[in-house]
Amino acid sequence: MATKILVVDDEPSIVVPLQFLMEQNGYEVKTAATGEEAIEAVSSYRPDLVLLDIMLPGMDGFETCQRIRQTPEGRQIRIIFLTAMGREMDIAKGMSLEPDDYITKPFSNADVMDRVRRLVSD
Amino acid sequence: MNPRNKFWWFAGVSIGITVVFISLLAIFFWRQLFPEEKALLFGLFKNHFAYIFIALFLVMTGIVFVLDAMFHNYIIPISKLAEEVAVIHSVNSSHRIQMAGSRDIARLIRIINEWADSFESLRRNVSQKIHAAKSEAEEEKNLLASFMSELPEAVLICNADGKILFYNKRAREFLETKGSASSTEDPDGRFVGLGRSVFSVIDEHLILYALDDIAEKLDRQEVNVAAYFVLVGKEGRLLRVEAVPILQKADARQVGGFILILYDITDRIETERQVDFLLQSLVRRFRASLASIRSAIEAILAYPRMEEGQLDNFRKIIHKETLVLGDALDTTASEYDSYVKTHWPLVHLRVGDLFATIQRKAREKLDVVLKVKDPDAPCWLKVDSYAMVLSILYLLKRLKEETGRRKFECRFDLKSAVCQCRYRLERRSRLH
Repeated sequence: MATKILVVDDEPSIVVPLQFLMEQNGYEVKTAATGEEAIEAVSSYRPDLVLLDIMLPGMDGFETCQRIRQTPEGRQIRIIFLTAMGREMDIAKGMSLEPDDYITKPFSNADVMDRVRRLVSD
Repeated sequence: MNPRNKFWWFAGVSIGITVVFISLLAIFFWRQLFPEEKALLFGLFKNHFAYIFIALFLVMTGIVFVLDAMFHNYIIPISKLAEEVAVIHSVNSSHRIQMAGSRDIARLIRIINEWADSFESLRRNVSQKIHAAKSEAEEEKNLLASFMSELPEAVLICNADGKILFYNKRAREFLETKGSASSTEDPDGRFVGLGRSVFSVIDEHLILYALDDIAEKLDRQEVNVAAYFVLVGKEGRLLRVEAVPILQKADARQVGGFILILYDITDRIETERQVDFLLQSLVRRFRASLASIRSAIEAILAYPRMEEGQLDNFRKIIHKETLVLGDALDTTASEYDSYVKTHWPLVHLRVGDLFATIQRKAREKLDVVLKVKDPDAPCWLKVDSYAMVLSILYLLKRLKEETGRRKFECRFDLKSAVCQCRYRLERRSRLH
């Protein structure tokens, strides 16, 4: 059974390459454009890992992360913040929510794949 | 007691003492005599009583005259002198002693009057100097007050105890609040005034902290000993306070007072926040777009045999994100530009007033006569007047050099929001 990955970002320009990349590496991918969609997808799709943007319309990535963690299935899910917010204070705020990783944009595909592989193989 | 009464008291007491002394002497003498001598003496008194009485009366009268002379020539004048000197010293320094008396007393009066002249002259000199110093101090104070009133900063000068010795209008604007029953913090309001404590308008702890900081810097003999802190003023304005010590002349490390200079940094903070926001937005936009572009390019490079449709998607992403980057740059540059223009120190001026200044300066500095057509036109400019005057003077100078003429005419045209200025030579040969 393929590892399921949920990509949460409101920018199709980043969702498309990430989805392609994950699929090429044998992962099953679902996308969500808002925090609310992501929470719903966590219940219905039950992903193994979430690539989560922070700057989302409506509910932001921080709150989405908290909500996912509060669900029974959410505690087991690996979450990686994938964001353009690269200031130290942003990173510190993000890490306080105890995600599994924090990647700032722009990133290399190889780096993202390495981190995803490491987390899903744990 | 008046001098006349004093005299009679003095005379009575003197005569009484003399009579008592002579009587005691006579009793003692009478007791030493033999009975026959007493009888002889008694007989003599009895037979010549009138002569003896007259002699004693004359002696007593002589004593009274001597006493009177002494009293009027020495005792009364000296008593009066003390009163007169007190008048000169404390009431009227122009008063002079006019009094009869003995030669010694007259000499003393002359010396005292000479001293009074010197005293009065000295007093007048001192008064003049004090008056001059006061006038000078008042003038300097007025100058300082007018200078301080024009300062954009608020200034408070306090003594070491925090008593306000001087303040400007801006200090009241920044710190004073009217009391209101609904305000739990300042129900009676906060007021700035001479002699009031600065601690009633600024938190005591902040000032004490600044003074401690200054004391430490003085101990370390630092060049800049000013201390800084930030407080919230009226209507939530953010005020940056610079505390500067007033050092005592005798001991350069002893603080005799302090000056508080308050800068309103609310707008600056807001501006910095806006610039920071602008910059952060740009950085995030760039990061996001670069992430998309990089990810797409890396995918194309990593999977060269991908389907044409997928490849086309990536090409579109790259194209779209490069456009987004360009737009983001343009938007940011435009917003930053408008921000800089907003904060440039520009003033509103009527064109006629601006060109009246330019006319005068052109005549004085360039020997150029500039006629202004329709100077009362209702045309207003928002400009840096100094730079504007300088640039137009430069233009006139160049026109003069190029044409050899020294008379020009200018006319304004208001086209939408832009004011055009046309210059023309006097003989109608159009230049601009």
